[in-house]
Amino acid sequence: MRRFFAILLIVSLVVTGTIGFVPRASSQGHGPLYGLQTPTLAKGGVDFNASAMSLGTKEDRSFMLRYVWSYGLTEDLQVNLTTPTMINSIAEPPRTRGNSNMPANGDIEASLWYRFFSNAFDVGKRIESTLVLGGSVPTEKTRGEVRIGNSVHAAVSAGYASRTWYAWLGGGYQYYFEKDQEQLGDLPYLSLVVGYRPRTFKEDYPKPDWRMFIESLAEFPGGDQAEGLTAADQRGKKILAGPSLLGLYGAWGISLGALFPVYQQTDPRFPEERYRLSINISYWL
Amino acid sequence: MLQGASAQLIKVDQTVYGMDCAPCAYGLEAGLKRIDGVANVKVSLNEGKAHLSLVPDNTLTLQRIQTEIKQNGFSAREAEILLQGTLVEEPDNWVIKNPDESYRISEKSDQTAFARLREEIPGTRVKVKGKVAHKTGKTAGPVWELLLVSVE
Repeated sequence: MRRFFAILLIVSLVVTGTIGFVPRASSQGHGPLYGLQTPTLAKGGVDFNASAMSLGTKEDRSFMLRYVWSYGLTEDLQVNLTTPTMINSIAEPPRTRGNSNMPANGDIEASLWYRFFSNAFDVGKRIESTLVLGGSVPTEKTRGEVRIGNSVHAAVSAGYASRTWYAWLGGGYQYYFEKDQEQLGDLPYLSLVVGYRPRTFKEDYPKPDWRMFIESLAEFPGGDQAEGLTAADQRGKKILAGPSLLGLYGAWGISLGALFPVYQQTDPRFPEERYRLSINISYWL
Repeated sequence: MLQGASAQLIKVDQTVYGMDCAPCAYGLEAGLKRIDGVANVKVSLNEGKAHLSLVPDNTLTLQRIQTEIKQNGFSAREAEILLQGTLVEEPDNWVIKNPDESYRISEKSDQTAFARLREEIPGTRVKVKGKVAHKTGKTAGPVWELLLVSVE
């Protein structure tokens, strides 16, 4: 576990330090760690995220670093590109998304976020809805002994933000294309997040800003298709929940959190999950 | 068309809706600071306000400030402004104008302040404090209705 956090720290310091960014640009809210969210960057805003993730099963655990570059084309339209560094893979990884804006596997993913509805109706308060469209290409040949194709991902989320409470509800779908007559299962999923900023953390800008979330995910992974593989005849079902914490100061943000299975019924080929851990460092340029 | 009238913003306290977190404030503050004519900016999350002090002889418009707020993803609402300019008497209005933006004194203004303003000779420079109501979309600027609070 120490290696997990040490690697993240080194990577984030090296990336932001060596390139020599000077914080200057605008940014916009920062949401949950795992669940779908709605905020998009300001027009011309740039955001860099370095994330470390670990997923533990009964038999093994994975470690991965991920980087996301985001750019605000307008205040409602944001493009993202995320790339992975796999450190330790699981032989039979469960089909899942990673953080809210990242795959949990070795895919390189580009996505577009379109905030198609936004109503800032009071001081500190707004409701908004965002559509996510993305596509990925794999960096590995196989995943759980199945050849990996490109994928498309779409999601929609709606949420409420205020100085005290946050809530987001979203759903998405990822579809993997066939590769050499093999195909990874698809992934419909839902997410629900509730956030709270206690009075203690409501001090005004530029003091540090903290908030906590209870996050939950429901995933319904489809069976893989490959020669010699008995595809599951029904979708898996998995519900996970857990806490996350977000701290923001100036141009920096840090999120850390964990998800634990509440219920899981999946293909017996996949070992049972025990936990998902993640830490994310954000920097707004 | 009246000529020779000019107005200049000195201070703007702009109400901002929808700004909930530190990066929101950080980004808005940075964006406003980059605008030509802005001397100092202080953003308050809890008040939902951006307090701007402007440099002397600026040509900044309220519309430009509100556009920056919109581009950060928030909603610019009413603004309290301190304005300096040449007073112009039109047939039905008292107006403070600049090349890009005009401030028409509202009939609903503080009557004492309005009476004090009317004592001024048109064509002279005045410094006034007032409130500009929220306008949306295409109706925002370049003619603002100024609810006069005081004549400095």
